[in-house]
Amino acid sequence: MSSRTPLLMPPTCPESIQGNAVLERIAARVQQRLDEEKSTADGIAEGPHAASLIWPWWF
Amino acid sequence: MTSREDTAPFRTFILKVANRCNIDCDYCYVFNSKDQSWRHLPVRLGVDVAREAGRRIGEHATTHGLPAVHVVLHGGEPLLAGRRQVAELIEAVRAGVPAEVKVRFELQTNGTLLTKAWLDLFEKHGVVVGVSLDGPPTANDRHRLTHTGRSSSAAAVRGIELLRDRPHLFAGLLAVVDLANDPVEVHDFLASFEPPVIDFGFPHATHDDPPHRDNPDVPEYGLWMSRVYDAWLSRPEYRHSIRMLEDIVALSSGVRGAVETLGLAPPTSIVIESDGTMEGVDTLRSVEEGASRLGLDVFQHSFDEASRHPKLLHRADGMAALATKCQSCPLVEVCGGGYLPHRFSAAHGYRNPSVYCADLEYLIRHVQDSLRASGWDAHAPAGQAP
Repeated sequence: MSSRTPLLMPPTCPESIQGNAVLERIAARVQQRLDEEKSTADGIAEGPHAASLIWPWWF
Repeated sequence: MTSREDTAPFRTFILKVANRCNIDCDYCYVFNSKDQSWRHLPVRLGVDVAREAGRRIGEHATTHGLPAVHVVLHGGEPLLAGRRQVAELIEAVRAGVPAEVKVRFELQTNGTLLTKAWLDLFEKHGVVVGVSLDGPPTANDRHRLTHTGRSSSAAAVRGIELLRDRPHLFAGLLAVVDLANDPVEVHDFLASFEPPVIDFGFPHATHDDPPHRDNPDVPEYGLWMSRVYDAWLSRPEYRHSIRMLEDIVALSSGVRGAVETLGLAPPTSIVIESDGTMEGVDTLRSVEEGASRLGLDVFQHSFDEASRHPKLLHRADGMAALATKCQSCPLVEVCGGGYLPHRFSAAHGYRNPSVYCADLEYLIRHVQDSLRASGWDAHAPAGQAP
């Protein structure tokens, strides 16, 4: 597994995103994904199939 | 040799429930690509195959302690299998999986055959539905025509409108990019159906059969998608995600998992054909005849055996499987070297940058520049105040 060095991090305070509601929502979802990956016991990341739409981290 | 501990378990199982389609998209990797194996496969996936697939999924989930699995009913056009058959297939799969393992069913359709009766069936079995549509009729009709050359757009839109009445069953919309279409017009049209997710895919292409470009010196696909990104950010009244773009944001932010087209996480899906044979990445049919075949089937082999198949070792190899140029690229953690079929050449196999390398670089930099301008910070650890 690769050790990741993030290039960017979502602002922890959504209001600090400069007035873009779409980016605020994205930041919240990305933070949720980061939190879920950290809490997953096996730490395995997944690359689901391109021709389907459910995202496993929404299970 | 790769041990079981080194390979990620499969979590998504794609069942090819119908091996025919009522429309004839010219870019389809199943019917109109180099691999023509569909001609020799059963038209429909039988209940005996579904029963065995369910048993194997249950075995795999138990072995790896999976709390949930994802089963995608795919095709061809899966609705051609008929409601009774699809209901029996779902029940056969579910019966093979231990009760404590959650099974999430999804169906991917062209939407043209959707009816209220189908939606009632999906409601009963908890199946969510994704629809393929490339944009407004002028865009969709470039590729997604019927076998007699007629538009499929009106029928697809009718199906999507039915689905909108049951938003909890609506998984989203999948579109293939065509440079001839206006990206903002396509985005706004798809967004108007209020899907939870839209995803865009680049047309399948290889180094031996490269994608169409008007100007080979310009990253036209990257430019096209960057205009979609800008349109997305400028329409806060819609609440959808755009998977490719959100994954670029997520991967840039340290998330590891993403759809198989991006990032370095191992793909965790496997395809079960209508005769029970297994395929690793079915879109490799666009590369060459037989590229996706593993020589395994659910009657004789477990999914653990499939996960250790030599053709799937690239899943475990991650960065080491990429071209030298990719391994030293600062964006590799985001693009992952590009989608596997798009890396192929007869001369070097999959050890090439993607045919969309310049496009992905342009798009990733466009998204990252936008994030920086909006206050995203490389020095603010998650979970702490900035």
